[in-house]
Amino acid sequence: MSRQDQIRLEIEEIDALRAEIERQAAAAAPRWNADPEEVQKSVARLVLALVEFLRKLMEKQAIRRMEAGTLTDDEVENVGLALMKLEETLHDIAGRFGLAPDDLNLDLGPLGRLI
Amino acid sequence: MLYLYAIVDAEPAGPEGYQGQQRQQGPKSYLGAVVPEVPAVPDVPDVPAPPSRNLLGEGIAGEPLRLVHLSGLSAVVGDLPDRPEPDRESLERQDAVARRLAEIFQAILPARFGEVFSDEAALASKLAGREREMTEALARVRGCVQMTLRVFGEPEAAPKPETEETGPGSRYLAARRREAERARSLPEIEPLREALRPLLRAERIERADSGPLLGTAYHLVLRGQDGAYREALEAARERIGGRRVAATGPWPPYAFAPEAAS
Repeated sequence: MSRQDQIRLEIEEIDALRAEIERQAAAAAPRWNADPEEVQKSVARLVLALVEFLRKLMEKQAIRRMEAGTLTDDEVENVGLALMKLEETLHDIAGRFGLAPDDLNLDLGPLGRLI
Repeated sequence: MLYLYAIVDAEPAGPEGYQGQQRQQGPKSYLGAVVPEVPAVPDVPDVPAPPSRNLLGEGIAGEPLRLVHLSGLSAVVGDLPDRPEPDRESLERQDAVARRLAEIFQAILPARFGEVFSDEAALASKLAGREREMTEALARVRGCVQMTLRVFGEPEAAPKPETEETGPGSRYLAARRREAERARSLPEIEPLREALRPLLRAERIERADSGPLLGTAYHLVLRGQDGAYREALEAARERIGGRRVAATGPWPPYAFAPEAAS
């Protein structure tokens, strides 16, 4: 590897690490907000995040069972359809409160992200 | 407050290793690392007298480190008045502590920066029920160091979904399954991994979401084999279609340590 390639690689690595730190810093800031003006949005975010957490758990379990072959084709189709529609519904409700899908992943401080 | 540095395997590295010192001085109160408890070894006359200095050394604030035994594990800890600030100096000091402990113990699970507990009972309750998980993790890293490989370049196109006739629900679940698999894989460096595989004791892959960084592969290799790892990497560097890789290490096995506070 030439010296120039080496320098380019080091710059790319530093840029990538900086981007990761900035992403983590941005994610850490907005926790549950008890500001009275924002309380409706905060409660909606909290409730929707919990429902999304349960939905993801069910999705993981469905994928595990699909891989293990313990679901029939019809069951896979039905479970997949239900999870897909639930996700659409959650994103739709979140949108009405001005929340993005990423906002439904609660930050639990030292315990990290919920999902 | 108690500051956790690592969970460690208290197996001594030699007659002058930690255990010799422990016999001399008794258990210490500072938790810097967690290690499986080792039964006491009877004194043998021809074993040289252990050094009197504290082999564990000092922590990030100059505090003496001590080994504590909790929930069937051994942990290296220190006593700090406050939670340390995550500045460069403190991070470098903590890394230096982890590297020193890695020289003393055969197996070490370094703690994340800033893992503080009010007292030993609080730490014990966090570790309770996790002896098996930690012991397995210690067995995995025993005698090993971590090499970190960051991969940059263009991502490989995601595999096309199967074309068999299925409904939207089945396609949705299959797509989620592929996403989950992709998040734990770096097919872009498969030829490189093939070349490194004889040296690897364990591997963990984190795929990046966006940007030129494709992802990071964390590799466990035996101590002393980091040179062979770099040689194998150089020999195979051209086989990954113009993508670039940056290797750093050897590190203490940071990426293979379960979080004590989780």
